Amino acid sequence: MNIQASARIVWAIFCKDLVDAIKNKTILSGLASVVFVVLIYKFEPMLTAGDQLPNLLLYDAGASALAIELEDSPSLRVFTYDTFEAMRRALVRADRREIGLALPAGLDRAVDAGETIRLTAYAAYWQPEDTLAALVLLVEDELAHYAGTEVQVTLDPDRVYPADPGVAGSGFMVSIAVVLVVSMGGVLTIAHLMLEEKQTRTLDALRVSPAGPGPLLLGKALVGLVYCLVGVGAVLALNANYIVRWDVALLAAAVGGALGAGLGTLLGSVCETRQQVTLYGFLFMSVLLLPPFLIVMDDLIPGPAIDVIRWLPTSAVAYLVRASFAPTLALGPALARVGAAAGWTALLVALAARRVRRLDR
Amino acid sequence: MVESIAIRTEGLTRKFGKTRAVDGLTLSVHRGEIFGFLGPNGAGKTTTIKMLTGQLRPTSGRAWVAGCDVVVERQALKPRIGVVFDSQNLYMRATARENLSFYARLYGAPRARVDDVLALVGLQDRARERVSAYSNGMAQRLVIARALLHQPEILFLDEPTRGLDPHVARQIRALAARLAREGTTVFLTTHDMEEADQLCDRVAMIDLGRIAALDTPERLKAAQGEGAIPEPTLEDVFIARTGKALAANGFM
Repeated sequence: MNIQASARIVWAIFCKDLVDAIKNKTILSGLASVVFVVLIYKFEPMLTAGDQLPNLLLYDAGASALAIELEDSPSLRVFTYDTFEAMRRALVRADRREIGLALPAGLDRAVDAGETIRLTAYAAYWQPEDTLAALVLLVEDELAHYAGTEVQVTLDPDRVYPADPGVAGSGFMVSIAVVLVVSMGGVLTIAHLMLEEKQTRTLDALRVSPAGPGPLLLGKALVGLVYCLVGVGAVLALNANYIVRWDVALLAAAVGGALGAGLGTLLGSVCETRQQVTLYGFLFMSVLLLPPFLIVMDDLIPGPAIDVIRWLPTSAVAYLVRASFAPTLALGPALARVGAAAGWTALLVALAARRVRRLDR
Repeated sequence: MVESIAIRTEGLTRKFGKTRAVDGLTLSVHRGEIFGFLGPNGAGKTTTIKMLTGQLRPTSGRAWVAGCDVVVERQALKPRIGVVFDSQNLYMRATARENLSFYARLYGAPRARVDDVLALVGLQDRARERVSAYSNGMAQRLVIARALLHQPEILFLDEPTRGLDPHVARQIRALAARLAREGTTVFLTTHDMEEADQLCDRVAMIDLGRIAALDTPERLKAAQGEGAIPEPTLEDVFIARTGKALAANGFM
């Protein structure tokens, strides 16, 4: 078959299934559940944040008494760090309302003298400006209350970015949400589309048509890719405040989408019933969701195991997502992750193709 | 290969484990012929069609359909054959037109062909309805329309009238006869002896994967008529050749 004919067939299958996926109630309800999970990830912290006190991360250069008094503040949760760098690193570790403050040496003397205290505050790059403005005012008020003198806090215009995308940090759950979307998206769309073709025996009609196993799988994989990309795009759009490098984010989306498509084609080629899709899909997703969590537990997981987990496909996708949060990209590690995810995707698709070809043996 | 032969098999065999579903099948079907393949459930009819249409690989033996070896030239075979399966495998959430348009794209058939086949099977006025709303007969006609989109040389009909109302079955038989007159070779499996008698130029009776008889209906009945039954039917021929009663073989 020539390339033009193959492209025509792939396009025909893609167009049909793109629409058919929405008409399939099982797929539609599954996609709705993915949307729900993504929205919960995004908005739950905002819903509960009102009940939580904002954090004040302190680097106290002079072991001041003011820092100790601040810990009693009813308006702030205060955390103290031994070094300035430790305080800055902590700023990019969690998605909460927080601000960092460096207390200079000799602060107690200035407080005792009744001088106006001038301090510099630091914030993670994704914090909204209005939130930071409110936090600065709050910190000024609390410090003034405990110091008994005027305090002026100035926000450092250079926001804090994560130095290493490999570690857990703010937006960690964004990377998990992306992994979840690609896992579920691929399984829910492609696997169920292929299953329906088997159960309604329309696959028999396709097999006697010019549609060979390759174009058939590719057409369906492209549908899964589209749905995964839409899902990942929605996650990234909802969390756009974290993303510094959109080129890396889009690369992560493409790699993740391809992985989801590969996963779905393998599952669809293997499963014969809806129960199998549910069971194996659940197992697949559970296994795939674990590595991005394990990779950040390097204090609990042995080093050699971490070295292996690093190259699992969803670890690679999660790494690329978090890499988009940093202004500079370590090209070597990023390309290596792309290669790893692409390799796994190719393996999944090859296994699926082999399975489909063996159907008529 | 002689051009007048549309389908030829030599020792075609398919095993599933130790079971020989088709055992050493050797036959030929002429171009423009309506060839009937008769047998009870489990005789090997559908397995034979699956091998001839490239869906199933033979265990041994060879077959050529429309000049193509069904194993090594499977992809070249596909545009030359149309298949009507024993189940109505349509996209139920799509309309008739959407179903046919999709397959027309797969086969590279022009869009106008969709209207042609809809008219051929009498569904042009129901083309925009979802297939899920179709009756059994309408769905079967649509499956036939799908098989004719690309104007195949050979049409495989696997139990095309099973479960259909008599008048719809008659329409389908008339369509098959018309296609044969126009040059399409029709390979028909059925358990309806009367249908085979009326429609087929030649019939092969298959039982336990083997051909028990192969000839024109007239000659088969004539040969049987020399025995005890004055006006034998094809059913009588089958019973005589296989030694099996109808009910035990689940014909009806």
